[in-house]
Amino acid sequence: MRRALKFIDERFEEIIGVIMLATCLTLIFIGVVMRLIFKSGLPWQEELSRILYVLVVYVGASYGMKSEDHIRITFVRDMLPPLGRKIMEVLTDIIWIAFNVIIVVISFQVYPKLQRFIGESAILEIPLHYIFLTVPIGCLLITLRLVQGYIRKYTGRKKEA
Amino acid sequence: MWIAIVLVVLLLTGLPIYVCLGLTALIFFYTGGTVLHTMVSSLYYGVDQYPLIAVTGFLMVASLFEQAGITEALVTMVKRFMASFKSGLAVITIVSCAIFAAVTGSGPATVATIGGLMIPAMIQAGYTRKFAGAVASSGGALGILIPPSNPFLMYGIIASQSIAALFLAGVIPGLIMAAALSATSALLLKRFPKYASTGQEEKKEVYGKMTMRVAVKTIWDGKWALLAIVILLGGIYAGFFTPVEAAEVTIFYSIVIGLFVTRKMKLADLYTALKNTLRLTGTLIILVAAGFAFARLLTVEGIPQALGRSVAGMSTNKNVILLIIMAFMIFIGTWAETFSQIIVLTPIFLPVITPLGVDPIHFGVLFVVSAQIGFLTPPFGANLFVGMKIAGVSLETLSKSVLPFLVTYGLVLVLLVFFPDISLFLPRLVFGR
Repeated sequence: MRRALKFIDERFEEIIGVIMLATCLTLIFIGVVMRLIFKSGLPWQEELSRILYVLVVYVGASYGMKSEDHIRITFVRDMLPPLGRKIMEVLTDIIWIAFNVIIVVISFQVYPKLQRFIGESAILEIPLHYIFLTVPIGCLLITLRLVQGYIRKYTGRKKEA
Repeated sequence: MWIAIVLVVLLLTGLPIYVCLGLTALIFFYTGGTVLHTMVSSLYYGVDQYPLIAVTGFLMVASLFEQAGITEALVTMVKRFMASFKSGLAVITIVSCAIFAAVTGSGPATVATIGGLMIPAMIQAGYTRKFAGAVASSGGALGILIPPSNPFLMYGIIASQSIAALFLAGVIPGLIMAAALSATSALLLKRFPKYASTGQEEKKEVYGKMTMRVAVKTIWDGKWALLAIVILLGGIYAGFFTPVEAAEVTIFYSIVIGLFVTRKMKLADLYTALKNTLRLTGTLIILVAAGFAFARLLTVEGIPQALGRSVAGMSTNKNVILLIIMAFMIFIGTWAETFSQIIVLTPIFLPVITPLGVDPIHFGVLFVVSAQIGFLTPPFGANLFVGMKIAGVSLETLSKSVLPFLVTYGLVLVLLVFFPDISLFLPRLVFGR
């Protein structure tokens, strides 16, 4: 159990994201080959690749948390003394979490409406309200990673590579 | 005005740029009475754009090329052909960057791949570290002007312009820029030997005489790199693939070459490439999502119109206005990341310049050249970050040593502003615009 949790913690976004990315890219490749060789593409290929791609972006955004790859302007922060820098870091993380939470809350406020009105995707007929959940799920994942970072820091547990 | 203040303050706190854009949009949607649902739908539909997948594709191509050994073959080929040039290695570096740029859409990736091979070689040959770093960093910026180019893709998506036409428009300016950069480095080596060279005589790799047979053999050795360029660009312009498909085809091409032909790649490398691409995609493309929301905010608030009026008030001359806009973009570009710059500024300036009769394709080229300058200027100069690491110098040193190349970039930019035909010649020829 514990090992399973650890595995999910370390590799969840990575594995899910890599699988979705590989599928998305392969689908497009198969689409081209089909079109060039058999003169007819796969009508559902573009739709599915797009759905996967949005998922890849949000899962990837959460995966990027681990290596702290999100692009930011840090020169002001870097000029501050160590304590000031720390305060800024905590402050911006709190704002970041608040932003995510607001997005999730808004998403769930409009969700019942979407369920009734938004309909299905054109070809695969996947109910669009499910697909729409990508955004709040992505924001939740990012928030979890942010909070996890703090818990780690305070309980003194170092990241195991 | 408040929008700008809030955005700048948020940016300076060091909050991730995508959060700054999203939060600013959210705050002003709220105070302006726009339904907040707009925010969430922008975050989805901003990314749900098929051409964006090409950006991810080209990121992956750059990573695979290196592992498949294609980049190395390419540099070797250029080296052999340029061996007789006087300022050898600097020019070789820039030419390699230009060729590599024809398969990758990214500036920093070009610095990383070509610089990774050439900076150590230049240092060994007696160039100063700062000069070697400056040559590779400025050459690497060609990556986004010579097609394919991720910034052009992004601009095309946001400005609803033909991406194939934009790519073509970048070709001649790209070649001019490569020539200008080569000339700059040759001049620096000749006139300012102290800055450029450690005094040690430039050691040349000695190759035999360049006969026809050797030339054919050299090209043959670089065939996998050249074939990739033919497939990628040839496929787009012959109408076989869209840019998205071309990127995907090149990915599978380099996997096949890497696994079965050069055999430098293992399946594990493929996984690593996917992992890196996932991370880069997540952290770059999420900016597009937030930028999409921000662009909607600007439209709702009528910012482009207001700004257009004030810029139009400064001058009635098309070129003067373009120069003002470029100066502004370069200023923004010094501390902003290229994608965010394109995402934020395109919807602001495009409506300003189209009524003046500026072709959006031409404007795209100017935009990308100003973004190149941004790559080379601190505090946020992505190419410098890569270049300094490889050359082993500080950011301050490299920022100074890259200045002569920045002057070159600036001069070419002015040239392009005054002569739109340089950019528009090829698109007109092919698409009859």
